[in-house]
Amino acid sequence: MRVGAVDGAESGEAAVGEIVTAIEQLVNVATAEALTVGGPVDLDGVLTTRAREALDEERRHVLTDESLPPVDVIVIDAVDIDLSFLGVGDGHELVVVDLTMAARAGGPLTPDLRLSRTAELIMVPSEGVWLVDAFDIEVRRDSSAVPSLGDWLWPWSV
Amino acid sequence: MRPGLGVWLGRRLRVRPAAIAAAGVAVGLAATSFAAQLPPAAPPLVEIHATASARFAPSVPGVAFALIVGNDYRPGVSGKRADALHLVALNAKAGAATVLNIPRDTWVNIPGRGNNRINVAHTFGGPALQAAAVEGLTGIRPDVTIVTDFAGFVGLVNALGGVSVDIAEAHSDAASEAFFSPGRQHLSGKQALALSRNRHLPGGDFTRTANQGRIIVAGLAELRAKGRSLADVARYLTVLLSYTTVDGMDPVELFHLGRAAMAVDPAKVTEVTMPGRVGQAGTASVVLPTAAAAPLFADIADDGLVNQSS
Repeated sequence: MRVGAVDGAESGEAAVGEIVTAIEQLVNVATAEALTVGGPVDLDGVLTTRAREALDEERRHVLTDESLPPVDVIVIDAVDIDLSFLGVGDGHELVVVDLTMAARAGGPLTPDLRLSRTAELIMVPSEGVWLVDAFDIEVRRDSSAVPSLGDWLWPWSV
Repeated sequence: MRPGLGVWLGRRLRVRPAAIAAAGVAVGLAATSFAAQLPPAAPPLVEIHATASARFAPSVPGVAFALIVGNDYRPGVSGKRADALHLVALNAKAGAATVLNIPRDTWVNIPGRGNNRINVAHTFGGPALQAAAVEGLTGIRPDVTIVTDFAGFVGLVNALGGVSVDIAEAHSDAASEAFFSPGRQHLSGKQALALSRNRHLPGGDFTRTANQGRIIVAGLAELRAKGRSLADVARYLTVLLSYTTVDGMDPVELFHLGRAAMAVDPAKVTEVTMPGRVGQAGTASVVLPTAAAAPLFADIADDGLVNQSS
């Protein structure tokens, strides 16, 4: 993971490290685990309660890749983040994460699946971990040579 | 195709039986029934290019009211009287806002303190009592009160790179150090403070409070023009919180309010000064709301906007 610009983290690098850990968790759960398991993933350790409550089906399809056919191999090519902390006193109350990520995956249904995701995430600290509280995400998925099973069977329409 | 799926480019290719079997495993019984319908020689394949987006942000209240207070604290001057009082109403849904300028000498009832000028409520009880006095005057309860003083105001304006203001009248006042010609000017923090303090003008306190409101509107428009991404909002709020004290909202709530404020079109910001007249309270010269004040307050209270024709 590449950490680019960091604004407002004067009180130490600990918060940056915590954010990196949180983003790794997000990518692991929302993309890697979702694609390899191929089913619903547990987002409790990723999203705040109100963000989880707001996660309707359409948003879930964008935030996670769990509705895609399962893959055998996944390669995360890049995860780049820029951070802007909103700090008060010695603490950090909020961070805006500009995230871009790219991944490749392969499996029987999606032999050359490519994913790219750009996101602006609002993360807040909660009991020692940083959770996504708001988001603005765009995802692009490309694949060829996919058997056409019909719209009614294809599970990832959004 | 379902809406929003993106572009599907259909083409027919040969497919190996193994792929069909894998498809059946992946999608379960439904696929099995579909596979039985596949033509044996030329099953269809497609390319998928799908882009989708989603966003979620906690909503701010339909209408949010922020009380902006500038007190006169500086070395050698105690009391922290609220010499700048502005109630900013934000209607996030309409993308519009109203800045209500309240003259500091407005004669009101201050809860628990009797009748007095509205600006001494801050001296008596800080932001909470100041907000209560404004609520008593207008019928509008502020959701958040943001307070700064002379040094904070100068630092805030400087940290944001100054502010460009259309100055309506000539200023030449040694007491406030305001020396300006009419016209649009980019002001430093010290110059903006001088402009906001000068009341030795035609219209006196009314003109002064209008100039203060003009600085607020100009500042918001300038920030919006510089950038209004979420990261920009976080940066602006970090600066704001360095030079002000905030009562009534935590920083995350304030962030989302700031995000909504940055979405307001400057052309949809109405600046209005409380209708009033100069009067006497004992020996004191004060500002008394006129009959037009109450309908204006009620108009702003319902949706944050000035809808009535004046």
